[in-house]
Amino acid sequence: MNKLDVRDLVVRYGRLTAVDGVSFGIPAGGTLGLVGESGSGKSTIARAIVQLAKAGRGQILLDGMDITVAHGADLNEMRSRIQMIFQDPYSSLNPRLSVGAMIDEVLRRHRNMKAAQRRLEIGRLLEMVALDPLFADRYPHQFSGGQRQRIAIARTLASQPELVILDEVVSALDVSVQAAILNLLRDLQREFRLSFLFISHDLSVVRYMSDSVCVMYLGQIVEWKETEDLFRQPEHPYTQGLIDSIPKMIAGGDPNRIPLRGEIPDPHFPPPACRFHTRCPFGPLAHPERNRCREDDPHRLIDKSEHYAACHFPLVRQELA
Amino acid sequence: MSRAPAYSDVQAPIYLAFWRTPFFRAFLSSPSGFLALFLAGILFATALLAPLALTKEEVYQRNVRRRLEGPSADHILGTDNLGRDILKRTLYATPLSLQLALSAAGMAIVIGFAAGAVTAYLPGRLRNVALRLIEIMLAFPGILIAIMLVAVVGTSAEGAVLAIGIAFSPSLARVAYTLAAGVAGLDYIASARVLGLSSRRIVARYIIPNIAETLIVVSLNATAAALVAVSSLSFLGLGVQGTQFDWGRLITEGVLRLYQVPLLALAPATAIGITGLTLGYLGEALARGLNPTLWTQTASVQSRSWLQRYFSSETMLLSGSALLLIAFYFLPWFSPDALDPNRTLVTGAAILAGRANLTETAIGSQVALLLLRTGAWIALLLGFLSYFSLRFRRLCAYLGLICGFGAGSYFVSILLADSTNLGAALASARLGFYLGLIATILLIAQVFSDKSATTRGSHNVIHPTSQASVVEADMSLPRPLLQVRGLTVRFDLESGAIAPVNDINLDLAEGEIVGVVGESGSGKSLTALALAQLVPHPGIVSAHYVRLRGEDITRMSAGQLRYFLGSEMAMIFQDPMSSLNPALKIGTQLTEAPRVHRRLSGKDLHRLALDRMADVHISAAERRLRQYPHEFSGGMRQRAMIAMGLMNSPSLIIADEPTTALDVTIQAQIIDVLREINQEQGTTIMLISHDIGVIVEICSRVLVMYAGRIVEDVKVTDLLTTDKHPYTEALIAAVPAFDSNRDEPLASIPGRPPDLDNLPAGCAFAPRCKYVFERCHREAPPLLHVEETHRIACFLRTEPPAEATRE
Amino acid sequence: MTSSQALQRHSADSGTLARLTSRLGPWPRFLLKRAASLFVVLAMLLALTFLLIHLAPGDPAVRKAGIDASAEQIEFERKALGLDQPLPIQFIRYVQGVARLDFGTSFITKQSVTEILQQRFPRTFQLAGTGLLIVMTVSVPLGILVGALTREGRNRRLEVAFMSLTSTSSALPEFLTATFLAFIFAVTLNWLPVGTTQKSTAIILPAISVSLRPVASLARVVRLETLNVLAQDYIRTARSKRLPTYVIFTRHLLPNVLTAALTIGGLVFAGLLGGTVIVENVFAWPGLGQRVVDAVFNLDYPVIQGIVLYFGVIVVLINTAVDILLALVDPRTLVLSE
Ligand SMILES: Nc1ncnc2c1ncn2[C@@H]1O[C@H](COP(=O)(O)OP(=O)(O)O)[C@@H](O)[C@H]1O
Ligand code: SF4
Ligand code: SF4
Ligand SMILES: [Mg+2]
Repeated sequence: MNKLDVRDLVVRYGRLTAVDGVSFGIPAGGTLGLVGESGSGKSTIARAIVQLAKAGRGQILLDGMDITVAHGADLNEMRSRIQMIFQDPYSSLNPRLSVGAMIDEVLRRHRNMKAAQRRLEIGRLLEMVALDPLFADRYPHQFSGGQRQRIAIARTLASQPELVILDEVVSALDVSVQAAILNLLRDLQREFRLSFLFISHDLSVVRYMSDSVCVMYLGQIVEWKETEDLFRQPEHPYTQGLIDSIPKMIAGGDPNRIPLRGEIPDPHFPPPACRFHTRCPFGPLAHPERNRCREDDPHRLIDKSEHYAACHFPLVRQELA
Repeated sequence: MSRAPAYSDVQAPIYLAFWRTPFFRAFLSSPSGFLALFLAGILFATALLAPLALTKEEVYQRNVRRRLEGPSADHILGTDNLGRDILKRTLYATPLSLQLALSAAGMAIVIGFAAGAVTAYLPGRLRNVALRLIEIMLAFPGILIAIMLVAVVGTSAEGAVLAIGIAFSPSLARVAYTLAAGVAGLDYIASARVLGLSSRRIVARYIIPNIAETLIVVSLNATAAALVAVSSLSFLGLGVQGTQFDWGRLITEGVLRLYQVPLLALAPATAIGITGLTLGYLGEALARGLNPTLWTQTASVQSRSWLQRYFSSETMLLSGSALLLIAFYFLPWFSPDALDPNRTLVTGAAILAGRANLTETAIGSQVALLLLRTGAWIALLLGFLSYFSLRFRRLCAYLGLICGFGAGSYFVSILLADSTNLGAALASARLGFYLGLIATILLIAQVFSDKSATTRGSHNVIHPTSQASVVEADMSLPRPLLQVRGLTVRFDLESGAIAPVNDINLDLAEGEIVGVVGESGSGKSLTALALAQLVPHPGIVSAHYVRLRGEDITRMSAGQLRYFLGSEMAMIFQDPMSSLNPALKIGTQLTEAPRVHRRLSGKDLHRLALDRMADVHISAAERRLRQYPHEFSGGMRQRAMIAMGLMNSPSLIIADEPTTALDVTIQAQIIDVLREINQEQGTTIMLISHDIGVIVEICSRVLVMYAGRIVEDVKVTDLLTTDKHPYTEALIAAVPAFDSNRDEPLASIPGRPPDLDNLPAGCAFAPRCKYVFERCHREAPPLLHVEETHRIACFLRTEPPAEATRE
Repeated sequence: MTSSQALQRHSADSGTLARLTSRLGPWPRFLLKRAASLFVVLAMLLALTFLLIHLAPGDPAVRKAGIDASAEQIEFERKALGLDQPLPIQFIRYVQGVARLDFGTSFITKQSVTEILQQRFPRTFQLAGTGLLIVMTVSVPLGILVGALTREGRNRRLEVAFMSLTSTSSALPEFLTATFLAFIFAVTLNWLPVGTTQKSTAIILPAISVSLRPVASLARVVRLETLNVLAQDYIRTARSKRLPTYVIFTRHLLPNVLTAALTIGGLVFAGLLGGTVIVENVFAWPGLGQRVVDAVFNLDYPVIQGIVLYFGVIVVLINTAVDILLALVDPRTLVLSE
């Protein structure tokens, strides 16, 4: 059974549908990557799972129990098992609490420990993220971005979570620091058998971190695949476009890439049927006969309980044909 | 590995004495803390003691024979129209005045904050209605609402308090709402909620500490405003009634007799002023006390002695302005009419203005008045000038003090009407006068001889330095467009001088795209800004020379420079939204540079703009030019920025992280646009990025920066093959590549970039370098050629030690 | 802060109205919304001033008839005031009266309130207008100048001097300033007249008294906003285009700073009007402020009602004007209001 299953999730902000019928699953100890351009709804999914945003429809199942309908002690218990780390290491730590006090808050809440034990545990947690235990007396403004992100990780571990949502946790960091944080996260995952939902706009980082990957476009998941498959044989034209857009360390650029044109449309007014048809290099723009993309929503037909690509003319099968 | 001491081993004291808490130390870290405590102490003591020390009789007993007297030994500030002592009445009014102000403010604060907090948690529609209501009330003059309310509840002290309390609450409600609504959206509140902390705890530890600062300052301001408002009501006769009196009411009595006994109004007015000042200082000091960055002040700041800290320029200014304020209030008091048998009205203000009626005063006083007049002016002037002069500030301040002391003792002698003291007082006033004169001359001389005054503001000009050490033949590019030698950017900060860009030599050939990479803080942006002469204050830029198209821009006049750089160089910045002026149409922003530098206008200009928009593939350009930046999407804005840079057909474009703020798909598009421009128009591009992938994609050469220096200069085609600088190597390894093995850990660079004010002695990269050897700690490696097109600053590559070559 | 404030200002009345008007262009939509909120505010103002009489202690009819009036006289006055009618009818009568510009007559002087307003308002307007002129012409240039001189932490001393000067003068209550100014310039030096409206120089002291506080607080806001704008990336962009300094200041800085100045301009004007009430009483300036205090003393309700309503309408109109001006200066406002 999966640690987390999201089924047909819809989240609305007023008249804007930010997440529209999204389904995926994360196995225990596994990592699911979530990629897409900014504004595609990645963070909204994260916020819905940790209940910072209200799910309009659909289920969020933790070990098979739906947290959208749970309440009282059940809900509290389930919430403590899901944690989240935010993108901006500068705004996600309370500037008025010392590092020790910040972690202590969590220990008091979730772990039944005496003051002296908590003190020891704080030191242990800081060591676990490779920080000096003496840093516990310092305040957030005394740390660099990478160190702050480590503090955020230590604080999260304090509640002994099972599922951790990592929302762009390395986007604000330099590559050198980013590598260290990614390594740390993978070590911790192995040690505590954590499940990760790893959100990023950087495909190479997602590829490195995830077992399977969901690609989002305008509030929908357009493709969900095992990582290797997705990068070797993307089926959805949008996935292909994203992969082509990444700089590949080839001097002069990759000559074979097919660039994506245009920009993501206003999510208030998503295009009808296949939402990607206004930019798709394989859709009606390039092939006028593919009218189906404009009229028929590819999401309508798919079984979303396992891997899929929501496209009428998927790339791989096309080539095979 | 030796185990570091654990957090739990450290015995932090559980209980800190109040005056040793970080809060209190930060509270006292500026003079306002002391002033606030001092003044508040006096006010409180007065409020408590005045009703005990003064009998009702002393305050209320009339004595018509001694009405409207000036200051004397019996009545220090004189008497009112019923012969009562002004000072005593002013002091006696303290508790009531404070009490009224505090209760009015308290009411406003309670109502306002509650209303604001409730509003923030109302559901959408209701909240909008409540907000609108607050807005409307806010737009209404508070004092008028209060007056109207007084009409309803009746004229009395309680009525005034009630009216002010209600009238002032909307502004506080608005503040509370803004804070409550703002704080709820913050990341750290969200993370606290995700961590499952209870609402009570979140409010107590996350929300309140973070809004307390603002709330306290706002509350104290509201208290000061309430004091003024209650006094205003009393002044209008709508507040305190009957035999009771507060400061406002005393002023009403005083205003009627302003012509006869100015002190009658001025004494209570001063009391109001001092209370306002106290509240202001208190707010400032409390805000400092609650600021965590001041809890952990660096040792250097804390180790400055008490005296040093308190005699900083701020102290002088704060006390100076306090003195000015007091002078403003008290000036008219100093009427020497105690000396004058005819009781002529000669006031301090009149003395200053030269209007004293000299014929009616004794000859001795005439001299004194003359001295006094000049002395007082000089003291005031000195006090003011001393704020701005650099070196003699303290001297001037002391001299001014002496002057003031002289004048003051003269006044005191007059006040006490003690003619035996007059001689000594006059002597000191005279001394003060001469000293003041000398100080003024010194000051003027200093202002005119101060060189630093004339070079001020020159930080964004590149200062040419001696060329003796320049190695001309260092690089021999075929067609050099830009040649930079010895470019350095310095910041002289309080904590010491740093050089974020340190002696950089670089050449760009015509038509090249050169990348600059490095971690954040390595000096990439500052290098670009230095070349464009846009380094922020207080940076100082110097170079042996910076030649663009063969012309040394360090030796150009400001006018030449403006034209030359305006047409030869353009810059593109990271965030296209904030880099475009939101209030101007895209068209205006595109055309203003050629309008100024090339004197183009009308059709030509418009056509040029359309052409450039076409170059960056913006369709419907006619319409687009009439739009504002907010009507553009992110990618479109960056295209517009590029089009703007192209308007004058520059030979060099410096692009500082032009794609960092954009999505990968848009990044790819922008890279394509840049490449196209380079190919079609031959524009040289210097592309700064922290993303080595982007650089490899588009550049022909790359400069790697570390800690303010160029450590490698290499052709991109060689980047992935030849031996590189260890830092470059590590940078490339840290990027998760597309074909890397996902099971292996990523190569990260241990440690952090060095602090610029504490660079290691030898190679700056030594503490993080995996090849480091002994020599690296001793000497800094120079940037040397290893091949014709490859420069490296690393001993390992330029002069390998014996054992390292084996690899 | 500008945009978020603008956002707050306008988010309030989105909703049904927004849906109704969504087919119009941005300007008609904006104006329609302004007009609607103007209407609501005016209605609230009417209700509030109407309630004044009913909330007040004592019987207005007794007030009007006088203390020693007979029961019949009081009953007569009650009828004349319409107080015998049910509340809604009274309210409708009140609104009708206001529409006819008939606010009743003073209990004390038996003068019609409209007449009082006509007589007194020009004086208040003269004072407040001159004050506003002083505020805008002094504080905006002053704030920008000091802002430009103290940008990026330059001239620390000037900054501290400016801050102490403005904070002390914004803490000075109007009646103190007025008293001191009168004392120094009228009493001691005899340079300027007080207690008269005959001489043209008579307005100088009252106008300065009433504007000192707003000048100080607005100058601070303008300086902060100038610093804020100067630190923006688009100023760096403008400098990278090597535009002459005056172009940077007039074209790139000024509109953005003005937006902030205008946003609180409405509040400043409200403060000014409040100040006139006090200052008029110090200088015996025969405006509405002086009259309203007399009226409160005598519980002369129609006069209070009339004057408060009048002030209210002016404040509301000014605020609407400011909003429209803001939309003209800053095109983003229009969009944010949606
Ligand atoms: N205004 C300033 N005052 C003091 N130090 C500065 C200032 N601007 C930049 N620096 C310092 O210069 C260094 C290099 O900055 P920058 O050129 O922005 O680096 P990069 O662009 O490579 O990230 C930074 O470490 C920073 O501390
Ligand atoms: S359905 Fe059509 S438009 Fe949509 S992605 Fe597939 S090919 Fe492109
Ligand atoms: S000089 Fe030494 S420490 Fe510096 S990069 Fe080369 S090998 Fe490493
Ligand atoms: Mg940078």
